[in-house]
Amino acid sequence: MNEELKTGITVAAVAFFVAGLALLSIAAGMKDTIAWTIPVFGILVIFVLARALYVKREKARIKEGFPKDDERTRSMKERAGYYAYLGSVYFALGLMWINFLMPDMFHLPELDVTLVLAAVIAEAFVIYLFSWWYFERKAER
Amino acid sequence: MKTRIKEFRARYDLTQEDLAKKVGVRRETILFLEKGKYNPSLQLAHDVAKALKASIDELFLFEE
Repeated sequence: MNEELKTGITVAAVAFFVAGLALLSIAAGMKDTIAWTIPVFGILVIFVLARALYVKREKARIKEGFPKDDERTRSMKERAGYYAYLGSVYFALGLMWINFLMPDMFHLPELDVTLVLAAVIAEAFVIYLFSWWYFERKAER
Repeated sequence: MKTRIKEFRARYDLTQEDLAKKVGVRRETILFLEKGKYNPSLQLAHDVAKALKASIDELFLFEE
């Protein structure tokens, strides 16, 4: 499956999900849900633009005769994925502990489940991107 | 790990891009190999040595 198709499917799936949620929210009169779909759409637009620039650069490289991936880039992606997985596990554990402590010790409300899930996903994504960027620069193996 | 890839590349007047295309890897991989910042697999080391008409021992200098 080529990069454009993969990006297109991902974007379409997320857009369909968010649009469906927004329509349901309007139907149910849930104004708070509508409020967070707007920033999610904003993040989606940024993701699409960044991805389009990356795919354009990669297509230019492939046209010049370079491979899309080699053993070094595959190794980099595997390591970045590993660190993203580890980071998300520890991050989720940390949030879980905070959620246990917040109501009892600090008399604060419990964390919203939807926000926690979104934060864990976003954090894994950020760690993956940062790790990938770091290994690209340092190239240590 | 030190390498003599740059020296051998210069003998044949190859750019990093030329060598990368010959070996079938990205240009950055050749760059990091030359700097000794990436340890290649045996297959890649063999492919680079073959492209530069040298042996692996000549190209890659292992420190004790």
